[in-house]
Amino acid sequence: MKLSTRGFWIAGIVLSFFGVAVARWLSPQVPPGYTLMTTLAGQLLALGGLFVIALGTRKRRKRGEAEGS
Amino acid sequence: MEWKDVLNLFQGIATLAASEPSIAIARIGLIFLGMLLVYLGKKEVLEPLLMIPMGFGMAAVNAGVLFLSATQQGTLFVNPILSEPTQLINILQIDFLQPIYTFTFSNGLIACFVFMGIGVLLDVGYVLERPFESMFLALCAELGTVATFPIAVACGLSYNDAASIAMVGGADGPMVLYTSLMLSKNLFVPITVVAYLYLGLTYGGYPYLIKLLIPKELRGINVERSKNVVTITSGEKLAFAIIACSVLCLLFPVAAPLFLSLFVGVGVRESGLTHFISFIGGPVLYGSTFFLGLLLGVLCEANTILNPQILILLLLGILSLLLSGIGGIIGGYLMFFLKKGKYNPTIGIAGVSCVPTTAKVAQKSVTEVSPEVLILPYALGANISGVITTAIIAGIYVTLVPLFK
Repeated sequence: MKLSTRGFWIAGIVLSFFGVAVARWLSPQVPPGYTLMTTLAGQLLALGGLFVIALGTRKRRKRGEAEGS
Repeated sequence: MEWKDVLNLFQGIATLAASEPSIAIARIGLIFLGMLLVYLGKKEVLEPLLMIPMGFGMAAVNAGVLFLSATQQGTLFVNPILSEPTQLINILQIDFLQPIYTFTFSNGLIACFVFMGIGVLLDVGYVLERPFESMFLALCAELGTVATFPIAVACGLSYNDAASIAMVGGADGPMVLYTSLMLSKNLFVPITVVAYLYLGLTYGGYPYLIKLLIPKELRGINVERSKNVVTITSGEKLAFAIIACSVLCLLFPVAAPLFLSLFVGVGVRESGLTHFISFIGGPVLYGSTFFLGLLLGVLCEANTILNPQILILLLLGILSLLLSGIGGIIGGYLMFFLKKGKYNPTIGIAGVSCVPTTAKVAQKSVTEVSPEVLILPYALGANISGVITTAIIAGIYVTLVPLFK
């Protein structure tokens, strides 16, 4: 599924805040042995979402450069 | 009148005579070390913005010791140990640097001001142009920050102290100060002094590491750039800054002051608020840097800094920075192999987040071999990513380490 630049931004923001919800809201509620793992997973998802946003700007830039040349 | 009464006119000398020999020798040594720092700062071997005030502060505080009472020696500079409110209000009216220490240093405000200034100087467009490469190199360059933690614990440091000294590998002074204030209040003076001394040395030391690990042919590789360069808009950078700030503050609220400081600086820059840019990038940044250096120097009073753990901190600090540099270069090599030889591995060292020092070091090392090759845009992307990843690791340490019991 190809995403437009706006799609990358939306996907990235949704993923980031989902990761925050996992790390900060879900992890205290899971059984004690799984808390650290859930927290780390949530943090990785949240940071991954920021990365997705950056990929969107990169894609727009590459498309612009390809059209220009 | 006896000779000792004459000596009491010069209490700086009388207190030397009245001190234990180890403290007296340490005071004299620190006075000369302060002079050396001023000399090295003037010669630009170490960062002069910090070393000049630090050197003066160090020399003055160790020379200006007097008898506060019949049995107690001290200075009129700052008392970092007091915390009881009545004593604190009293000393605020006596020690001339106490207000700056109490209201800006011990609560991390001065570190945040420096970070705001750094944010105003940063162009996150370099990160958004090449996010994968920049983040990958920055992560590799955090090798020292991550690997030094278990090594420090194995050397006998507590988890909190180990995390604080490991942050030296992040090569970011305000973050080392902030992390050590949060996690290791009793060691934050020696840790921060060690960090700033070593950070000043990266400009001199990292080129040798590059020459050792990267052969000339690879250092001279030219990275192809598109002829039609499309820049990232300021709107995109501003949106990224506010989203990243919110997400990171939600994840690591203990480190929220650092994230806010960095991204508000970025936001001010991308909003084009010229008066704020001039104010934060000028008086705030340089004023904070000046008082940070002065306070660090003044805190190096012999009684405060002489700690049996100082030697281990010196060794772990240099290990952390060394591992970070090596990690960055390993990242550069991995990118070189991933791009089938069309990438200059020297760029990897710029992942160490001493902005813009390591980016300049990378460019300078390449220019010595191939003057026509320009890698600075790539190096700056990795450099700025390094700041963000180091802030994230600081947030992780400050949040998770206290949970390790």
